[in-house]
Amino acid sequence: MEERKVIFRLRRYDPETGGYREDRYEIPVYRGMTVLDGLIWIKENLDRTVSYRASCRMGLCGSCGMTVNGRPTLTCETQILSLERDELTIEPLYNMEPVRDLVADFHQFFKNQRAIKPYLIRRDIEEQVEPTREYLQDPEEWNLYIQFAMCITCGLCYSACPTTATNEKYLGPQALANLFRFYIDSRDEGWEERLAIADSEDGVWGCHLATGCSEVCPKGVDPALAIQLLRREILRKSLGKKTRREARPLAPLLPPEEESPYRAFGEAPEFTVEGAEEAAEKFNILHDPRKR
Amino acid sequence: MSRKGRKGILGWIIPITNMERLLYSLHRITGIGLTLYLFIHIYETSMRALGRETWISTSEFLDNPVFHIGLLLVVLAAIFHGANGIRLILQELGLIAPKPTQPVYPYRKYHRERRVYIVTITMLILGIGVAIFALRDFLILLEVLGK
Repeated sequence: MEERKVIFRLRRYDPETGGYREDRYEIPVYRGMTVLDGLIWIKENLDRTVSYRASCRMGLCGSCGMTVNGRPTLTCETQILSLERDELTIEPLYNMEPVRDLVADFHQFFKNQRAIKPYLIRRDIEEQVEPTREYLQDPEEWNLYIQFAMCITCGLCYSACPTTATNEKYLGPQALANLFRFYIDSRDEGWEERLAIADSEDGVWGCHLATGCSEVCPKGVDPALAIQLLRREILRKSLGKKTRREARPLAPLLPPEEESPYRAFGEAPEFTVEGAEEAAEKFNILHDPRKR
Repeated sequence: MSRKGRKGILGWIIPITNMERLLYSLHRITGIGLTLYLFIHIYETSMRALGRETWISTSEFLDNPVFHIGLLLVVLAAIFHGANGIRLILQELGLIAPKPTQPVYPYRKYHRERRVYIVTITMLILGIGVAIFALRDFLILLEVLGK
């Protein structure tokens, strides 16, 4: 079989000059080879200075988002031959500050993610920190938010959005979809707080329904749908209509310890890795709602 | 591209990833076009205030194929902008939003199909509706231009 060659045109950002330069590399392509494989091949065989971000190579970590032929793409999930081009132009993600070559800075993206409070808000904080019972949730309630919980924070939606192109303060499709994910979660009690965050010009009203976000999402999250549904909730609230229902009561208390089916598991084992205890403590502080 | 990597106004037009993104770009372009036309139209009709002679000379100046085609484009832009505007109101306020579901692999195909159906059906219904209303004015316009 004849070996097929594809040209990779990399638009590389140079932090020293603040500009871009274009480098061309010709690479041999085999069936099933992804764009990320191509970049790895370039780094191993042609140019070791090429910088890009990647980790799991299986569409789970969301690190390898780049702009391929003008479209924000998860490079580890995109096969070169499926693009049916002899030349591919690869750039860093749009609407994010480039760091070097193909690496984009996610600072603003994660700042927006934090701004929407991406955790369960409960009125009974003590119960949340030291739980005695379980939260109840049936499959129907789970179905309402699971679609939006599939997000891997790859930033493709943020990069495809025309509003983020001009408005730096706009929360962006990822953060708003995540906001809706917690808003509609039957275990969450912070819905009024969440609607207040969403109900602003830099929130849901900044969206103009171009739906590029949903189109490029590699996990089918559909942030545009989340924004539509959030708007509907805000509209219903302003008309004095019923919005989300109250959170469900907690599960009944567990039976006493001697009757508990969980007693066989016993206590958690001691930490065996050096520094793990401090790390766990730090993690607990970060995730303790009493200290937020 | 700006210093911070943001696309700026260029980001309103690229990347065109799907049909709604194209409609978004066209909505912006027709909106700007119609606003410009409004100012030109006000300027044109204000010539009336400068006397009969000026008005006649303005009318003669505008009576050429370039402006006729421009006027037809304005009508088409208004039809598109109106129909798409109604679709946006219906969709943006979540009035015709589907229920969220568990995504099934391959995710993209499923969502794209669902959205394309919604957009195509609403645009067809609205487009035909608005076009019927506009057609009458359109025929009158053609008749006037014919004379």
